[in-house]
Amino acid sequence: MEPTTLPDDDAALARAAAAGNHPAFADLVARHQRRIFTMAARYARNHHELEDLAQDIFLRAWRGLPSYQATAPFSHWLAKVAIRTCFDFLRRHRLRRQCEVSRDALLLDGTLPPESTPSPAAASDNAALLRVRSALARLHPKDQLILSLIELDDRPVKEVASLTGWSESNVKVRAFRARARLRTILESMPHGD
Amino acid sequence: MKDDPLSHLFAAARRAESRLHFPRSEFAFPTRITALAASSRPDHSPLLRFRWWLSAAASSAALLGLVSLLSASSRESLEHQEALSIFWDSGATIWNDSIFTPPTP
Repeated sequence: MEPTTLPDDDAALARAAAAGNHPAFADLVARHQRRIFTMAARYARNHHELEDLAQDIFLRAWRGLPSYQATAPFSHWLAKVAIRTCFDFLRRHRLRRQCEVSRDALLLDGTLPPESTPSPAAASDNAALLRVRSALARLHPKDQLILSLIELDDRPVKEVASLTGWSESNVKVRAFRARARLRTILESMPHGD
Repeated sequence: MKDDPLSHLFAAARRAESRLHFPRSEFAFPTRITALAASSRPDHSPLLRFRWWLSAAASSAALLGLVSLLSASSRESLEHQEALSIFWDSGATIWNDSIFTPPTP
């Protein structure tokens, strides 16, 4: 790869990649992979699934690159691709997931920073993430997606509506109901889960 | 809204997510995904498009020829069948008339 010959901004890289420039695409992947891995890790239950899901997202993006018009930031376009891919993944694996939610713990263990003893605050945050993931996995795929985008990504309703293609009122109503369901699930879970 | 326990739980989850890293997955991922992508995207070069159109035209012509042939063959076959049935009917009549009909006194 020759980084000096590549453009700086995502849109130019995307144009170059769409024209068949492989190093430009590799650069785009390197720039966005952490965000994509973080999103995929919410739904995958182990490292194999995580890699497969992330790979699927980037391959779909690669195939869709010629249609990217740069009217919105590349990250927004890629997030749309990722959301659709994750949603398809959730629908495909829904029944299996409901039986295997505890495996989320394995995935999280593998992706935590290598410090052997996290601070009490970090340990508490990690426990919260495990709890949230276990509870989210028990929700309907649409509810999981909405709450992940609003609560974990901290995205505004308008942006979630744009990313998912659902109306803002639909997003609001679904998020409200999903939160209520999540509360019920969390109440039924032991605190050590 | 932000003071309820669920919001606090999500805030803690967000902080934990921001510290996640993926050493096993991220290593060499761009190179690997790019190699996969290069082999997965259909080639849209003019030469390939021309070859595609050529093969599509050839396939269409072959299909059209086959349909015409089958249609003609089936027409011939029907005519042939009709001729055969007339032949056998008349043959049977002659045979029956000559063999099984008793000679008139």
